[in-house]
This record gives sequence, C-alpha cells and structure tokens, in this order.
Amino acid sequence: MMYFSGILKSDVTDASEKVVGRLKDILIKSQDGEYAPLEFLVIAGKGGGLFYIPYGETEHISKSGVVLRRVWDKLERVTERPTGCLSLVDDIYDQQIMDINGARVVRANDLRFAVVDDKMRVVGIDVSVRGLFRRLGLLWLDVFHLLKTNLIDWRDASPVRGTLKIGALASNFHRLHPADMADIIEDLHLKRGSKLVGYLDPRSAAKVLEEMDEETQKKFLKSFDPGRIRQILDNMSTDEVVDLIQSFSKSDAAVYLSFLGDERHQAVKKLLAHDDDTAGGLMTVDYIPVSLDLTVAQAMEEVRKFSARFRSILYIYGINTEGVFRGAISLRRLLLAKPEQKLREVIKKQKRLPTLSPDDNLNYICDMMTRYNLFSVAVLDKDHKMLGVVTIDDVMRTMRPRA
Amino acid sequence: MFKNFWPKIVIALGVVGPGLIAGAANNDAGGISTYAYAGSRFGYLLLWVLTLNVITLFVTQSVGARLGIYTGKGLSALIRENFGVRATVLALLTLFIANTAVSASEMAGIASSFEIFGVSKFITVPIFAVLIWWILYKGSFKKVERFFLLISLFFVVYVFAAVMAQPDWAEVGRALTVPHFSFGSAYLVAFLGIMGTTVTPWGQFFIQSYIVDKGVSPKYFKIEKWEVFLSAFFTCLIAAMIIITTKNVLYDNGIVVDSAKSAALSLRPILGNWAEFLFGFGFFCASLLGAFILPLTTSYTICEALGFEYGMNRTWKEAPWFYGLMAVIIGIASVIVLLPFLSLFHIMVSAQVVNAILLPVILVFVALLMNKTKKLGLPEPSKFQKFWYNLVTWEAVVRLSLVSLLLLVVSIFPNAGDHIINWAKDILF
Repeated sequence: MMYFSGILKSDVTDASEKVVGRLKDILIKSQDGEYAPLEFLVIAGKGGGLFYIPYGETEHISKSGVVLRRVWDKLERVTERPTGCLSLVDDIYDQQIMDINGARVVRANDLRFAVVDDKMRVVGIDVSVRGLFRRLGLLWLDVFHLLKTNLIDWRDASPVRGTLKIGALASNFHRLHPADMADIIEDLHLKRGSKLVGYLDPRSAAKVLEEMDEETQKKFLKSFDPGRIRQILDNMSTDEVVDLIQSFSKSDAAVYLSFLGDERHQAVKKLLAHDDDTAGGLMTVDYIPVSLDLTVAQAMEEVRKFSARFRSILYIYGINTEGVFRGAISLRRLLLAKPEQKLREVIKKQKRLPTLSPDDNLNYICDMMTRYNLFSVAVLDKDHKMLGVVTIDDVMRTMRPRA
Repeated sequence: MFKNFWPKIVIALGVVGPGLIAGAANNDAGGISTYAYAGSRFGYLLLWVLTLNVITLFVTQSVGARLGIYTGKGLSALIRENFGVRATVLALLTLFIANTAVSASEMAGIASSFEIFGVSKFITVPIFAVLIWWILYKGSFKKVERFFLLISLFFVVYVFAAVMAQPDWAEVGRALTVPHFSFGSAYLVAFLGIMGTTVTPWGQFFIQSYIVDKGVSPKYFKIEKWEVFLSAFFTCLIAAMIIITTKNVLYDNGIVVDSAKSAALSLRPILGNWAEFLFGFGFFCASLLGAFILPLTTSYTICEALGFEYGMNRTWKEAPWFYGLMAVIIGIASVIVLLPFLSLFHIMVSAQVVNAILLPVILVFVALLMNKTKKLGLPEPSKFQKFWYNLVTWEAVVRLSLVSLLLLVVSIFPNAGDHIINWAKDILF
C-alpha cells in the first residue's frame, strides 16, 4: 500500500546509488473516469533547481525512496514545467474535493497509488482521520486501530480549484440530483460555488437554485451578471420566483422583477399580492389549461409542450374562453382514454371537484387535501376563474422548509 | 435637499448599527470582568493599552475581511491550503485551547450572574451546559441570537455611568496617550487580559467566515472596512468607559473587583438599587451569547479545515465530529468552571490571558497570508498600506510575545522586574 505522504520529500537516488535530490511533487494527467497515471516526478536537485523527470525513468518507488533507472547525467530531464498536468501538491493535496457518490465536500488528506494497467496511478483519495494522522507521522498513537481508512475512488472525485478543473468537473456533476448538487454547492465557498453553477446550463442551474434556501439563493443570484440572472429566473418555476422575490427588500425586489419577461412579470405580480400561507400565496401558476373542445390526443400534445418547463404535471385543467374553471383530468385518465375522444367526455366535471379560493388558509387546505386524497387543487376567484393550483409539494414545503 | 439626506442617514445607520452591536458583543462577560478588574486595581494606568488595541483590532480585522472578500475562504481553509497539515493542526490546536478557555469564561459568566442572586454554580452550570448543547444540536440558535445581541447593548450604560462619575477628562486623555509600564505580575496579567479580550483568536477566524458567509463582493470592501473600524472603535470605547467608571467609583474608594457582584457595584451611582439586577441580567445574556457562539464556530472551523462534514442542516450521523466537538468544548468548559478551587472571577480573567498568550500564533499566520497577494489573488495593496499592515500586525505579535514571556519570568522569579529595571538603568545611564 503506497501513499503519497510516504514518498513525498524522500530521497531520490540514481542508478549509481548516489542521492541526487528530493521528491518535491508529482504531476499527473487527469481524465474523466480513469485513474490518473503519474506523468512527471518533480525533483529538487541536490545542487539546487527543479527538474521534471518523466515517470518512465523510475526503476522503483516506495517508502524507502525513489530509485531512478539511469545515471543522473544521462536522464531525460526537463527544467520547464510541462503543460496540461495537475500538481498533486498544489492542486490536490489539502484541497477541497467533491465526492460525487457521497454528494459531499471533503478534504484530501492523503493519496493512494497503485499499479493499474501496467502504470502507476492515483487510485484513491484518503479523506479519513487516519490519513491525517499518517500525514502528521502520528499513526503509532492509534494503538487499538480505532481509526479506519476512508478512501474515495479517484474516478468519483474532482478537485474544486481553478477554472479548467471546474469545467472538467461540471460534466460529472450533472449526474447528481439537483438537491444533492445544491448540498455540495452550499458547502463550497461562494466564489467556487458560483463558478460551478456558472458551468451548468440555465435549466439545471435553476433547478439547483430552487433546492437552496432563500438566503443562499440570494447570495448566489447577487454573484451573477444580469444576463445570467435573467436566464436562471426564466427557468425557475413561477412560485419559486415569487418566494424569492418576497424575501428581497423592496428596492431589490423591483430590480429582480424587471429581469422577468412581460408575461412572467404579470403572473408573479399577481401571486405577490397574496399572503404567504393562504392558497393564493402557496399556489403556482405553472399548470396546463386547455379547452374542453380538444381531443385527448391534442391534450397529450399540450402536455408534451409544457413538460420541460414545469416541475410536475399531475392534472390538466379545462377552462372556457373566459378562463372559467370547467374541470380537471389526471394524466392517468388521459392515458387510458381513446386518443380521438373529446376532453368534454372524459374530464371530471367542475361540480364534483373540490376547489380553493385564494384566501383559504393552510389548515383548511391541509384538511381538504387529506380528506379527498388530492395531489393538487385548483384555486378559483369568486367568478370561478382559474388562478392557479396548489400542489402537495407546495404544502409539504411549508412544513419542512429546509428539506 | 432632504432627498439626498435620508438615504445617507439610512446607510450611515446601517453601518453604525452592526458596528455598535459587534462592538458591544465583543465585550462579553470575560471582557467586562477584565476591564472592571483593571480599572478598580490600577485606575487609569492601563488605558493606553486600549488606544493601541483600537489600531491593532482595526488592522487585523480588516486584513481578515480582505482575505475573506477576495478569496471567499475561511482562515482555517487558507492555512490548510497554503501551509499544509502540520501548520493547520498547530493553528487549530491553538484555536481549540483558546476558545475552550473563552467558553469556560462564558460558562463562568453565566454561573456568576446567578451567584449574584445566590444560586450555586453546581446547579446552573450542568443545566446550562446541557441546554446549550441541546439548542445547538437542534439548530434553533439562530432565532434567539438577535435577542441576545440586543440585550448585550445594555453595557452601553457604562458610557453614561462614566460621564456621571465626572472624571477629570484631561487626566483620562493623558492616560490614553502616555504609555505606562510596570513589572508587577498583577499588572502584566491585567495588561495581557485587556489585550486578549479585545483582539482574540476566535475574532480573527470569525470576521473572515462572517464576511465569506455574507458573500460580500469586493465592491463593498470600503463599507466593510468602515463597519470593521466602527466595531473596533466601539469595542474599545465601551472598554475605556468601564475602566473610567470603575476607577472613579471603586478604585478611588479602595474597592478591588473580585466577583461579578462587586463589579455590579460600579453601576450603583447610575442605576441605584437596580444595579445588581440589571448588571446580572446583562452579564447573563452576554455570557449566554458567547457560550453558544464559541463551541459552534470552533467546531465549524476545525471541521472545515480537516474536511469533516459540518453544518446545522446535518444530522448527528452525518456529522459526528461537528456535534461531537461542540459537546467536548462545552464539557471541558463546564468541568473547569466546576473545579471547586478556582473562583469564577479568576477563570474569566485568566481565559483572556490565555487568549493573549496564544494570539501571536494566529496573527503570524494572518501576517504571512496577507503578504501572499499573488498566490491568493488579492489586489496588490499600496506600499504604504503594506507597510502599515505589516507594522501593526508584527508589532502586536512582538508586544504580546514579550509581555507573555515577561509574565512567565516574573511569576517564576518575582524579583526579576527590579533586576530588569536596574539592569536597564546601568546600560542607559
């Protein structure tokens, strides 16, 4: 088992068994989904100066030191730093590392090497207390072997430092659920966090932002330029935007409102007028309204059109030309109906559906949704015009704001 | 005219407000005890240290703010990434010891505010230790934080108390500007105590992570600098007022403060019979605030640097080190306070001395970091700024180390002070 801490600063001897310098650093080439091979040894020469020796020149590398294959004078050695390489000391050691499988941020306490496919490679990052003790030369203190090594597979981790590396890392980052991404980004410091969000496409960025609490959302938004803010706000769901804008001061809120497109602006403004814990405040305007004259097939087409933009679609809602609510139909029913049937025939009629008015309070909403086993309810004004829907997710959020 | 006037006032209040609150909160129970002791024992003789402290506190804190704004990282993270594991462990160990000492001082503050009303520390300390940990664990601390901050503004009362005592302001002015030094161990203890309670290791870590958490952008560095300055100024202003009050009310009457109860006496002229009650209440709130903040920030800092999971939104299982460390700090602090042979008041003052002795370690790191402008991506400061920052920080390092060393020498050889004076006279004359 070879660790970086064991060989760093150890003596380097050449083929004539003369000590020629000390190991100062190792350069690697990192590629997605691959254990990084060691490329160059950085050696502080005995007579001064830094030398970059290709890894192929080593005969043997172990705790007792590095032995080179040839005599020092005959070696291929470079005095200029090779490009395109990462330095283990500067870029990896002691830096924050994202553990993509565990969805968390840790620090690299030590690195584990092993031979894979005939090459010496970095295979794991030790993030354990044991690694820390090893670095400090205090492992002998652990008489009862209480400390366990905790290695992260190199392929699951990406260092978070500098532009280039973050770009490479964002491609891995996509694999995570937005909620997990948000957790990681919140753990990073603002600067690196916002850089990382910067590498995501606007839709993913918006999703990640939706998963953060309002304070953090605000901090991140403020660190972006207006164009980026506009993109992200455009991709966030309307009720999230409303929550966000509500948490701003009046003057800030006006600024962020102005970033929204006209249609969005109107919708948000309407929602802002309602109290937080009433149906009006909780509801979202991201729902699909359709005319009852459409066929089932046409309705499905509508769903396809909106599906990318909305967080969830459980029902579609029938309205007439004045916007008066006429009924709702679940996706399940829609799926089971014949494509050529008219919606009018299959929709659940308005009279048989419980609905909310904007002033209904949270208690009432909860009671009703539980009683009728509803996943979402339409909110109507006094003329039965449809204003929005309250989904079960909106209600859950009020009970567990941090989740 | 008024159109431009009001926004300016609002901005000014917005800057003064947090500065004042931070200044008041800096003066926790340990601070108040130390100043009260210094004033009642040595009169105005230590006032000049406060003048130096304003400068040291302002410069070190604005360097911290600068590092936070431009790197977006906490101090412990910067130390780890630039100086490696050994240096980090040294810094964290220093912080841990210093902060545990301050936690003990806060616990002692809670206990002594109850002792004013005759409740034994053996009852209050265990109860509050468990309560504090529980509230921290549940993460419901943020809600009450502001309340306690506001209560700690109570000690602004010393400004009025000092004025009411009608001191000789010319004499105060002289004492603030003319240095005085003595080699008595009590004087050295008070000297270090005053330094250690204003400029603290935890304050240095705190300012930087506060700035990082707030996500201040470089544009606002000027405003932030003002906030830092005002908080340094108010901290030392209130400290000076406590010394002035205790000098006139207690020192002149031959009373030396040796407990919270006798410290409360200094407010008798202004608050009358309410003095003890109000002082006790303010003392309690200031201590409780610190008792919450210290274990929390210490654990946060250590976990961040070592790469353990941390944060209030984690569970015990996800972040055992985070919650475990908090429990350890609260536990050690409580045990120290419960030791029967230590007086609460001694604990409070000694904790500040421990802070002062350990502070140079942290300041050296800060000084080294602030000069690494290129590597950290800080803007290059002007030559004058660079000189000034270095001068003030290294002066504090040297001052603290020398006085700490002197205290060590004097406590081993009580006559060393006389020898040094004679020796100096021989050389000079």
